[in-house]
Amino acid sequence: MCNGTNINNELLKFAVDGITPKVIEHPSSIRELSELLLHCNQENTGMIPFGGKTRIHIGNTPLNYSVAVNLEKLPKYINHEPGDMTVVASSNVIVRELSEQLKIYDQKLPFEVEQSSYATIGGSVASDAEGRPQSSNGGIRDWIIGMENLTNTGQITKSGGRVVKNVQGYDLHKLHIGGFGSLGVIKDCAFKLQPIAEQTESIITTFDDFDTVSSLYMQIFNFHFVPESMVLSNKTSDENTIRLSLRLCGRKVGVERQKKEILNLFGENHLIEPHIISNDDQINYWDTLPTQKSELKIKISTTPLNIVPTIKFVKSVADSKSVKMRYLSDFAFGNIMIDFFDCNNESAISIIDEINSQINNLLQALVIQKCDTTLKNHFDVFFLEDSNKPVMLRIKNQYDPNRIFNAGRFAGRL
Amino acid sequence: MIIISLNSDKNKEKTYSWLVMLKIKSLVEELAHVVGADNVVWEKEDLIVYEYDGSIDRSLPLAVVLPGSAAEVSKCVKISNKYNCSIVARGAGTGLSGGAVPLKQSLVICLTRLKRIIEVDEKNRLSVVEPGVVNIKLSDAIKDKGLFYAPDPSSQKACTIGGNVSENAGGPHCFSLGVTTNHVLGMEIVLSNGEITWIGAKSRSYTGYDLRGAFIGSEGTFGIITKIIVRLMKIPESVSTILAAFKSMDDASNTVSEVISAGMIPAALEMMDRITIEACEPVYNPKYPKGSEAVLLIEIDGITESVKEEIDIVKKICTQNNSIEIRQANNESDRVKLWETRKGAIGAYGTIAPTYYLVDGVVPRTKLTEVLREVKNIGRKLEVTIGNVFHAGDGNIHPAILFDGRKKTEVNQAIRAGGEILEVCVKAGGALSGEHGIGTEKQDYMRLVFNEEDLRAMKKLRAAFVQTDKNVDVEKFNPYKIFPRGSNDDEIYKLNDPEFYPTGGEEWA
Ligand SMILES: Cc1cc2nc3c(=O)[nH]c(=O)nc-3n(C[C@@H](O)[C@H](O)[C@H](O)COP(=O)(O)OP(=O)(O)OC[C@H]3O[C@@H](n4cnc5c(N)ncnc54)[C@H](O)[C@@H]3O)c2cc1C
Ligand SMILES: Cc1cc2nc3c(=O)[nH]c(=O)nc-3n(C[C@H](O)[C@H](O)[C@H](O)COP(=O)(O)OP(=O)(O)OC[C@H]3O[C@@H](n4cnc5c(N)ncnc54)[C@H](O)[C@@H]3O)c2cc1C
Repeated sequence: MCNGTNINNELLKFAVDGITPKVIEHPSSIRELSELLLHCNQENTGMIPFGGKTRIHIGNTPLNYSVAVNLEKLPKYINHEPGDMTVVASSNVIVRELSEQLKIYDQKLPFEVEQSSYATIGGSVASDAEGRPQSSNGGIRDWIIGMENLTNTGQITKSGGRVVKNVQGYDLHKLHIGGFGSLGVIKDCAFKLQPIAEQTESIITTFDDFDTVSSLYMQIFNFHFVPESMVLSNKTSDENTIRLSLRLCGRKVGVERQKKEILNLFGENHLIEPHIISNDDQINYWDTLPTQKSELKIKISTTPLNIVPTIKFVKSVADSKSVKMRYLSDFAFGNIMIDFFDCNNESAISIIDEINSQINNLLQALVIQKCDTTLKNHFDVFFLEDSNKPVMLRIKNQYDPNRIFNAGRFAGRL
Repeated sequence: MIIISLNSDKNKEKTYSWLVMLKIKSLVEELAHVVGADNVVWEKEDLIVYEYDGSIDRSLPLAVVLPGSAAEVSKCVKISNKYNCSIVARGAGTGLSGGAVPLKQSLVICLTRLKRIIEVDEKNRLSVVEPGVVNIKLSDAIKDKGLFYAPDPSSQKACTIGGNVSENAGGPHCFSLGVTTNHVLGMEIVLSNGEITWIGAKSRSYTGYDLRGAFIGSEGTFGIITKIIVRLMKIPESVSTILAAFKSMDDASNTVSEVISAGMIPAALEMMDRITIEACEPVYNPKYPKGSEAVLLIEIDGITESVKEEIDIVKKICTQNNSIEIRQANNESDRVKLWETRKGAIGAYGTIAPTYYLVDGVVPRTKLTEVLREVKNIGRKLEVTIGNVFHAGDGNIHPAILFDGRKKTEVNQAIRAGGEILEVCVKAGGALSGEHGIGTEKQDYMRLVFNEEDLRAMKKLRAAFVQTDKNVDVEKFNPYKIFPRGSNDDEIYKLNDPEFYPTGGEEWA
């Protein structure tokens, strides 16, 4: 068992929703972590595993939170097989470190998470972090081929494999992706990789009304190619101008062709000259695109066709409460991230109530990613659909009967 | 896969006591009341059709019911609960690992009447289908909208999308586009208590555990799929296919590695060895150059300009690796011709031996050369002929062990060779199965990869889906599959049940 630190300041750094842990553990070996888990399980002690702490705020208020487990000091490893285009990385590897290692061989993780200089592999996978260029690549779920986890009794279990294709036994790792650390601690993950494209360019253009943008992006979506990234946003909460950012990648000749078709389409619609950026400018552009942070952030997932109607609807609700909002939607993947500004709790509750009343579970999903802690008493921030609750509860009961992992924080307050 | 005629199946001789007969009669009557008498099969001679799939094992079902809607599936499940009988879902029965073989005298729920394409949402590029839709029929139905459904198992003219989801099927074009799990958004399922529920959604993200992802590839052991939401893809603007012949397997394998190192992900990257080539010559007459030890089929698709550039690079790599002939197809009919031998290769093995056993191991691509050499050595050592036709791009090898299924010694050697090949794959850091699943065929090899703790964790997932209440038997759906016999939880999972015998295993071990 490793020694806990109980200096007050340190404890505050690991507070979640205002609740500070009693102790912070920094296991330095898998064995220590394993013993810690077993101990927590035997004593019914609740714990929260910490990666880079960038998404720790997502979730309901913790129940039974006593131990913060900082995974930073665990052995770090990256086993990259360039010829197989696979990599196995321990959960405490920083996404950016991994990306740099892969870049040496002109390869990359096919998804991209923000804040990658802090975000860990474990945290990104556990929170199924929504990347930007998922339009054509899919999300984290699509690229994980295997995983090792530590269970509530400290045992290591694996599922999937290390090869790009495998169907052997159940895909248990699927439960841990987006499971917000509620079923165990992710030890390491195996990913399928992609080659870095020869050429990447971005086209940015602005619109005054949703109808034009809506018809245009549906036309682009129906081209023979889908841009790697298609993002619809308003520049800041103070602006109503709609901005469409497209990222094209592939062979040089292919990118030229995509660009030509898109520019032709814009020309036909008499749009103002779009802005084209490449190389480092472009990396910087995409990195800073999501920067406006708020105290109330929601994510709505829907189908491509529903993106604009959903944004319009949320905007009308926000306008009716005189609340400003900034939206950023990954078009083809269907995620809309919305930040609300200057929004008191009363307005927040009524905005979210109104949005939730319009959510059709087969078409849309709603999650509050960030909010004032008092709101968490009012809502299950994951708005879990009733019909999935029984099987999810049984899953939690099977893997964490004593409720030690992120207790009370996951969907359905599991 | 082994195709043999097992005349000695004990089940066929099994006669039921009159009490059991009465129970069966009553079960059949109840089922007929729900689905109509024409849609229940229970006479022994009719049941024989449902006793096997494409694998070695055979076992007669208690009865077979063919429901016409999700509501009927639900009612059938509820009826089965009254009679305490387990259920095996069945699609087209093309599975190669024994998944649809009904052990433990189960009731078979055959989904082939559920074959409607319910919705094609062109704009959102998705479709809602019933599980009995034959894979190719979906792509055929949406072709004129410029769309297709990506997972394309070689059996796509027969297998069902429900079966594909349950096995997480792959296919030649899954190298660049991903396997079934990457193309299924959600499913409507019927649970052990007959409840009908949705998992996943039309959107690509949803909240809660990824029940959809966990269900896909569960080989019919969690419940019955009654509707599937699939993603559709845009038909690429251009497709170009080349076939390259080589004088050695090493040259062909090096070509595969170099194509990938050049930063390309071809749409398909398939390989055939000399034995396969020899089997195909008399059937399809492709006239491959004399002395070919290996043939590669490489397909590039996408934007016309990129395809043209990439195919030139591929041809250059082939030449640098001593290719003795390169053929290129630039139109659809040439392309079909090039694919003909690859798609028909398994059937063509009949020119060499009456029976084949298709192994489905996966190895890291970088180990292909050494693993293929070891496969050859195993063939030599055990005196069995092994052909190779496989998805080289993702290291999914399909050694086809060719033998005469009427000769017991040959059957034994084939099974031994299959086992040894799987061991080689696992030792090389690979997997037991790339697309056919575990079923009964590979259940006893699961311990090569997974320890008891891993298996126990998997069983918990099954229990979570199946045990809608504590008393439900975890083996309610597709009993005695996937997990190795003799595991610690045998008591819970009743694997020592005397009724349990994968007939092939017992007969031929
Ligand atoms: C204000 C803010 C907003 C952001 N918004 C976005 C956004 O809109 N889109 C986006 O893509 N990214 C966003 N990010 C960044 C995001 O990508 C995260 O950085 C990353 O995904 C989480 O990694 P982490 O290591 O910081 O995880 P943490 O925040 O430390 O953990 C996240 C969750 O995973 C659990 N966890 C962590 N490690 C493990 C493990 N090994 N095993 C099991 N469970 C574990 C934790 O208990 C917690 O529940 C945002 C970050 C910040 C700070
Ligand atoms: C010549 C040949 C070539 C093949 N090539 C490939 C290939 O390239 N790639 C590949 O992946 N496979 C291949 N296969 C194997 C096979 O076709 C696939 O596994 C296919 O997915 C099985 O579909 P099916 O409808 O025949 O299912 P079945 O064999 O009927 O059933 C397979 C499994 O799915 C379960 N199941 C079926 N329907 C449902 C349902 N509605 N709900 C719940 N469970 C269900 C069954 O219980 C069983 O466990 C090939 C087979 C043959 C004979």
